[in-house]
Amino acid sequence: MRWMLLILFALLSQLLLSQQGSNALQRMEEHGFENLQLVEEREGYRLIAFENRRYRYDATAINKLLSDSLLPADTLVLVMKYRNLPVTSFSIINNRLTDIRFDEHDAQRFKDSRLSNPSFRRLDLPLGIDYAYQLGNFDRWFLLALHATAGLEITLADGLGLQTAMAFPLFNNHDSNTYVRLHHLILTHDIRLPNHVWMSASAGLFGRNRAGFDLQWIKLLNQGTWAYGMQLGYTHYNELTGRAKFRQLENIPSFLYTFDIAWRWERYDLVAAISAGQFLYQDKGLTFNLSRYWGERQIGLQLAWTDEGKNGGFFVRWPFLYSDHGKPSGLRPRPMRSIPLDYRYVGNDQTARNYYTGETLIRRLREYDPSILRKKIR
Amino acid sequence: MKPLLTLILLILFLAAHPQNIGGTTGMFNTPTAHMQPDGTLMLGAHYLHKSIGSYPYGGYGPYDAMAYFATVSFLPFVEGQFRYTFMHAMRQHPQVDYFGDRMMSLRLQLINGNNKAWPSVVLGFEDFVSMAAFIIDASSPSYFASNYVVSSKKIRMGNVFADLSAGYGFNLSHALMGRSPARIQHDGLFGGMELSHRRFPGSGLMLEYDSRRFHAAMRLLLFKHLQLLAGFNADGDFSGGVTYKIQM
Repeated sequence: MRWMLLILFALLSQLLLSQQGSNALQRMEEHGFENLQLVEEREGYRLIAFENRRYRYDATAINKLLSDSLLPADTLVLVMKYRNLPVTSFSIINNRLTDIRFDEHDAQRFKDSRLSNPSFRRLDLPLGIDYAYQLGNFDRWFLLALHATAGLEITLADGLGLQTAMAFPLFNNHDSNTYVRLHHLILTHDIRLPNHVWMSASAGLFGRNRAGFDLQWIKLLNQGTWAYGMQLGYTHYNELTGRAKFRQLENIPSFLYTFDIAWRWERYDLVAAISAGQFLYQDKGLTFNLSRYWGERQIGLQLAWTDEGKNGGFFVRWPFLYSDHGKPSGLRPRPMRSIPLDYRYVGNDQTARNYYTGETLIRRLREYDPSILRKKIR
Repeated sequence: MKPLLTLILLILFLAAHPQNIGGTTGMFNTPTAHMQPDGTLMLGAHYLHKSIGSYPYGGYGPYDAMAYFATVSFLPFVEGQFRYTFMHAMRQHPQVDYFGDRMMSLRLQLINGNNKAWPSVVLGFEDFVSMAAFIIDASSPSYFASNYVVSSKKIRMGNVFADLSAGYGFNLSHALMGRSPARIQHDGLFGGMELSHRRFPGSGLMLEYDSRRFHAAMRLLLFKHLQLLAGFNADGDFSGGVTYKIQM
């Protein structure tokens, strides 16, 4: 009789436990989080994986989860994903954050768990602006080419995404690109490898009207304090309308390769990075970047020395419009995530240039950086 | 009417660590050794009387100017600025009818004296790209270049703060190459005092000497973000403007 009672108690406990885990997943799904998985559940401990596409910044999502009591009140590890690839894990005890780390769980565990509310084949329509500008010189004090952009983004499989955008001219006294055109069309595959190694492979029409392929690879050390990696790309000029005017130099194939190393000063989330190699216009040399992060906001300095010349300037990444993009759906319009501003002392030079490969995990990796996220979680 | 006037006068007697007419942290036309809180971004537009923003361009000037700037506290001890300055009412010229001048500035706090017995000390490089270019090539123009070291200390007297600053602007180009640009913004000794009230941080009254002229000025901080700055030199010439502050 005693044995039967013990077995009954164990069964009831297990049922109650799994009910709590399922309830948490259901609440998260109702809130708009996707790619949900209850990877592990035992008494007093749960491992839940999810993807945030509702909020522009992931720290906002974590704050929402913590403040709205969407999580069960026990020991919990939340793993945040990007295109269903686990990236950062958050340790939470009784709704209080205790630790953040780049995720170290075996990737196979996520593949073996049931996925609910998947984000695949849901279309996002990012709306925003794109521009080129020049300050001066003399009587032409400010030249601007301003375009509205409307895009399409979709996740096709784990790490595999397709993104495209059209540009619509609004104002232009800067150049002759005064017609509706394709801004970019890129297929990207992000791959998570063991030991904090990431790869992004992209192909298509990149920014700066370059068509070809691009491969990036990065290894993180000591939770992102150090990082090293490389980029390889082969592109040639391609402008589908055939109407763009370009410099003669643009019309040659380009083989790009850089070797990169970065160090993060955790106290201030200051990242110093050096890239050396051959850049877009076949100039060889190096760039030095110093970036300060305040959550999703970023301000940095850039210096470049190549055999094309020397240049310097600064760049700003500023969030665009509102932070809540609403629940993802089959077709969701939303604002673009941020407005970039790049300023170079010598404006239209060809020193140490690169093309835009769209949203890749490597490009966004610092948004998932534990040190940077931690300072924005209440 | 009287209470309103009293309130306005009261509000004008205030101050914290705002920025000067050039857009970096300081009094009116002199820098101080204080720094903004880490991650402060300041966007502003200031009108510079020609006694402050002298442009002897093309042999016709000097001209008044409008300065548009973005200043950021990149680190708690590093402040950087980008500024675009335009000549005002400049004589027309066949090739030039509107002149925009870019400049970058950098301030490094060497000693932080906040809540300590000793004063703060800052080393500043205004328009350092132009200064560097002038050092390399004497034909390169430089209108607002300034290299200085400044020390500041805030003293509390009841509810009133007196913020005292003194500094020295040195001619780096002359020291290195034996030649000077057309104009150095702070050339020699400068200093000043700002009075503020504890209950109204960010606003205040200032009296200063900028190494050439005396200025009397006042500032007002509205809604914690919007700063209005206005000042006059001894001849009664006005300079002033508006700045919006954002905390990142």
